[in-house]
Amino acid sequence: MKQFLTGKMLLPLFILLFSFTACLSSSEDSSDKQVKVVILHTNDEHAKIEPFSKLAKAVEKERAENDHVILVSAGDMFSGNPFVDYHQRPGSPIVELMNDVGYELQVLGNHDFDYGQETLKERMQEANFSIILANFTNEIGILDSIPPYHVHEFPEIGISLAFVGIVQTGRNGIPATHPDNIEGLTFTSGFDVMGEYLYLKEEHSALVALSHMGFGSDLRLAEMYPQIDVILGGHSHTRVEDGQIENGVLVTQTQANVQYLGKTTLIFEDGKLVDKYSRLVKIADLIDEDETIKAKIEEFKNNDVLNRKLISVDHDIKGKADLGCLITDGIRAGLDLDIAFQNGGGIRLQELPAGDIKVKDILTLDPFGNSVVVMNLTPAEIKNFLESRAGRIDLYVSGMSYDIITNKKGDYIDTEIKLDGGIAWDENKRYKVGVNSYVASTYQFEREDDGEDTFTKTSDLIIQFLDDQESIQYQNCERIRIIKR
Amino acid sequence: MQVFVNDHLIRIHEGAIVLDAIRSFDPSLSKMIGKLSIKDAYGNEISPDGSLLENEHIYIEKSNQSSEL
Repeated sequence: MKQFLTGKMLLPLFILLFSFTACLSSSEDSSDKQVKVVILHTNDEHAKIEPFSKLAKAVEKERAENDHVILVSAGDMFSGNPFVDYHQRPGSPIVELMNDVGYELQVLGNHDFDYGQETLKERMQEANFSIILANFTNEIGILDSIPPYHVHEFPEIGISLAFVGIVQTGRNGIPATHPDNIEGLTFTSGFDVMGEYLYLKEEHSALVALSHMGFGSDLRLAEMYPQIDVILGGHSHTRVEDGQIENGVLVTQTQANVQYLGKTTLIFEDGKLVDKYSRLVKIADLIDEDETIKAKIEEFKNNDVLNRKLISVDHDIKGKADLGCLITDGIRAGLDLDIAFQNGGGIRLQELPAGDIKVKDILTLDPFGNSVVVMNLTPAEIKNFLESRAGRIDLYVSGMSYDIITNKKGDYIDTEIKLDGGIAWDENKRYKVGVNSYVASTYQFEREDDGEDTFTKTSDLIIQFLDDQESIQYQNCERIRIIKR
Repeated sequence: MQVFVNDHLIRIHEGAIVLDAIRSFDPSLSKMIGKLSIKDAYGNEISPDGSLLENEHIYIEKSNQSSEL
């Protein structure tokens, strides 16, 4: 039997259909009102220029696919690549590439001070992007005034983003760079200073902290200030795959060395932020490269800077004893230390032959990129340090000498230490002793002071030392003796 | 300062990086640093050259064998 739809049956169907259409229409209206802003970001580029040809293509693709895009860095563009660090104009290759790729903004990270303020100022003048930092004052420093924040407007959609820049400070109240690099600058806590800029949230569509404070600190910042919408971080080299929501704040970071491009998306409706999410794009997985930038990178790497002559020597500097003397003299002179030590395992050449010593020779002699850690040690602690090697000649030295005393069979008995120039030890004094960060972290011995990193590479100090000398003589350098009694 | 590697307390110099903490925890790991999975307390991967905060916890395991150290 056929059934026909009566008017009574049609009414509910009509209502249902109308509701569905109305609902669909409302949804379309809502979507129409939504606008998407994409913040592309990296952090801790550390002068790694090689990935920039792929990064350029990735940024170009995002700009083609999205109407409202900004590219920013969360700090530390410098330090970590000899082609950039030893460039005639240190840092200029990475600044030039960041200009090419179209960065708009960067916060100063601690390592951005590594080349000193004069050089930083020059690079800042060359940068086409804005550089911000809120938690410092420039009383007698060389740097021009640096704005604490930056506003990016998207006038076509009525959206503006406020970015506030902050950098970490250590227990000594300064960022992790050598204190000489920041002379005349006064730093304050990024946590405190961020609170002074929360008003920007009321004036703009979203508040973004561009934080070079480390992921753990960024989570704390989010706990303190839920008014912040997004924290784009750096410093701890953390890979935060999809961003982490902490106290309602989206916190993210792209590890380091341009391994990843961060893509943080903000969705606005009627000018209000209604959604936010983040993901990482792995640069190594990309295939397309910008050929112009690739050629420029090759040009930077063909730079003769590593062949720069530091000094000429008329004799071979042979063996660990002589090379150890050279290395430790360089470390001690560069940091004005009382004493410097170098472990034998860290000396990676058998000799520097007579003739020119070049930058690349020092980077081969001392290739690990270790920094110098300074400990304040008493004579007894210095003796402990040497005795921890149990009579082996392993620690080469400048500023003092030592004798390893053995019995007639060669069994270790004692270590006797002597300051240079026959000066008597002051048993109550703490001497400034420099060791590389490998020794500081692996050689265990009794001491009160754990030491403090100078954030200065041993190789940089040796290069500087050779640059400063008119001539050097390292033959039969006898600062360590084995004496049988 | 002090940090924790696999929940072991490590005393280390101020300003130390992740690599320093790992080689202080076990010097023999210096030569296999590229084969380690290194994570923070939230399970995020961190680089050996990343900075450390006071009392930070990091966790390492051999990435190819996934066995705890």
